[in-house]
This record gives sequence, structure tokens and C-alpha cells, in this order.
Amino acid sequence: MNCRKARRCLFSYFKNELSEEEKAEVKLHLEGCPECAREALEVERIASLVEESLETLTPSPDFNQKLLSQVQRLPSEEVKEIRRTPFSLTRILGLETKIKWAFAGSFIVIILASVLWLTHKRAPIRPEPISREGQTAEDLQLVNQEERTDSLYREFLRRLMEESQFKPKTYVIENLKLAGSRGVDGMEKLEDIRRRFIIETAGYGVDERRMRSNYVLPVVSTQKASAKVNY
Amino acid sequence: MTPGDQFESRLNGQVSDKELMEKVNSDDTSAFSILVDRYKVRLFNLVYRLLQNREEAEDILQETFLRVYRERESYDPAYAFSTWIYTITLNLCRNELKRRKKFKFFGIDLIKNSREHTTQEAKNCNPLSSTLERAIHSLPVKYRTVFLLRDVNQLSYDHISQSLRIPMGTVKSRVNRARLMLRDKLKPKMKEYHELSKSSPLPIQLL
Repeated sequence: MNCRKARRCLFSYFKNELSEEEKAEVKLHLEGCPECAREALEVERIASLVEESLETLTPSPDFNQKLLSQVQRLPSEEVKEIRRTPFSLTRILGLETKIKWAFAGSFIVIILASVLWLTHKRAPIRPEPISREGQTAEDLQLVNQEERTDSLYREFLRRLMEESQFKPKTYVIENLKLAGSRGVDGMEKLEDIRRRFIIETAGYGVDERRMRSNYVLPVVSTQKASAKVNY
Repeated sequence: MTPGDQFESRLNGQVSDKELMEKVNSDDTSAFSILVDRYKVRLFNLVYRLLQNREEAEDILQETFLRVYRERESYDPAYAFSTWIYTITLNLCRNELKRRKKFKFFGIDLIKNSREHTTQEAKNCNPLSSTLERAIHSLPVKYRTVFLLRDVNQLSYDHISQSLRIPMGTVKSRVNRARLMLRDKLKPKMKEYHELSKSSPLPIQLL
């Protein structure tokens, strides 16, 4: 046994908490190590000091009497909480913690709500500035002439969809859906759409507000709808 | 052997705590008085040394016994009565210390007058004893509690572990730590005292 270990169990040694084996080991070490023996003397003094010189205090002489009178006042059936302190600051403090939690909770709720609001808020509609670049007189002419052959009309639509900043694709889809909901026959539907399309996109000269309300529409199931639009 | 048996009062010719509790269960206040007399002094010393205030210690003690009486039907005789009553007492002390902490947080010191009590009581006993009291009081609560239970109230490690509901290993290490802290605090004072009194050092009585 080394000094460190011996010193650590000196108290247990004097308190008789060690096994016979450990006790013999400590004893052996103390006999051979004067340093630890001195330390042991200190520890023994302290241990006996704790055991002997601590004063035994007694509760006040009328303790039993007071207690028994309290016991007799206890309701026999109903178990009632007896508050040791009638002063209610403790309760207020208890409430204090509850309020703290309530504040923390509502704060979190507010933060979450605002984050949700910010992320789910619709992006403001900002139509691209109307640009007339790349739109030739030929295009406008095409638009204005209703009686075109199918290949020309198809070409017109293709170019319009590629070049237009007004999302005619979205517009077509949305109107197709509307037409469908009215139960119009397939060809008539297309015809109707085509007509309105030409009328409404003609000239590109419509004002910005009208552009917004007519052409910037939510894209709903683009793939499916465009697959149906088979010109 | 049930876990409770090992801590039962082993006083010869006396009615055991459990038998007394059975009587208390049938509203026998004299049996209750015997229990109170059996435990009040050791619990009072424990509570007083934890809280350092006489009136509060008495209040806690009273509340402990009131709870024992009020909850007498919930006492499980499979466990020792002493474990039960120590648990109640220690819980009340813990609550009180928590309450003080809160008050302290608000700048109200509840234990202002505790020093007076300590000094008053220190006057009529030997000077080392008051040094010892102060040293014990300076220990952190968790160490002070196990130290008092083990070295002053002489409870077994097993009993302490059950009363505080902490593992036995933790109790042992805390007790040891508390003793070493106490040794470090007392060592210089002890030396001073022994040099002053010129008393010859006690021979080491190897056990």
C-alpha cells in the first residue's frame, strides 16, 4: 500500500469501515511510515473530535406538547396540506417560475409563427419589364391574323412560349382547366383558348396591371396539363 | 430478511418502530409520542446542522412528525421506519434550502440570525467544538448531508443511500470527500490548539 492510498482510507480505518485485510495493510503501512503515522494522528484526533465534542442539541421542552396539539387538530378523514409558512411569497415565487415558462413558451411560438409567415409568404409578383426586343413586326402580324394555318399557329405558340415574358404557357394551362370545367368539347376548347390567347396577347401593348392579372397565374400541374395541350 | 429489518431499532426490551407504527395507524397517540421521543433529538441535530437555525429546525421537525402522522397509512412496513422518516426530513430540509436560495436571489437573507445562535451555543462548550461546527457548516450541502448522516447520526451507508435515494458508491465517495475537506479545514486549527494547550499528543491507538 502506498502513502496516497493509505492516507485516503485513514478515516475509514479509524471508523472501522475497512475489511480485515485492508485494516492489516493500513496498519502495516503506518508502522513503517512515520509521515503517514503523523497524519494518522491528526485524522484520529479529528475523528474523535467529531464523535465526542459535538454538542447534542435538544428541541425546546414544549416540542412534544405543541406537536401533539397540532396532531389533534388534524382532521381525521380529510388530508389537508398544512403550510408551514402562511406567508405566500413562496407561492408567488412558484408562480414566478410558471410565468417564466409561459413567457418562454409564447416567445418560441411567436418566433415559429413569424418564421413560418416569412417563409410561406407569397413572393411579391414582379412582372419582368416589358421588352419589345426580339419581337418583329411579323410576330405581331401573326397574332392579329386569326385565320392562320395550323403549322403557322403552332410555330407562333412555340415562339411565344420561348420568348414571351408574360408566361403564356401558364395562361394556356389555366384557361384549359377553366374550359374543361365548363365541359366544352375538345376542339371548341382549343379554339376558344386560341382566340382568347390571340386577342389578349395581341400587340403587347396592354398595360402592366392587366398583364399581371391576366398572365401571371399560378402554375398548377404544368406537366400534366401541357401534355394534354397537343397542338 | 426484508430490507427494513436491518435498520430497525435494536434496543432490547423495546417495542420496535414498526409495531409502534401499527399502533399509530389505529390512532394511538401515545405510541406516536414514543416514536417522537425516539427520533426527535437525532433528527433535530441533523436538521439544525443543515439549516443553522433553531426555529426553522424545530419547524421542520414538527412538519416531519406531522407528515408521519398524516401519512401513517401510506407507510410501507416492508421498509424501515427510520429510512422513511429520514427521507421525509431530508426532503423538507432540501425544500427549505431551495427556498432560501430563491430568497437569496431576491436579496433577502433568511439566515441572518443563524450566526448568533451558533455563537451563543458555542460559548458553553469547548473551543474546538465551535471550530468543528463552523467547519461542518462550511462544507457544501451535499457533502455536509452525508457527513452528518454517517459520522454524526451514525447511519449505515446502505441506510443513507436508501434515505437519500442515491447509489451507495456515491454516498461512500461523498462521505470520504467530506471527511477529507473537514480534515483540511481543521488541521491548522487543531495544530494551533494543541500547541497552545501544550498537551502531549495522543498515542495512536491502532485498532
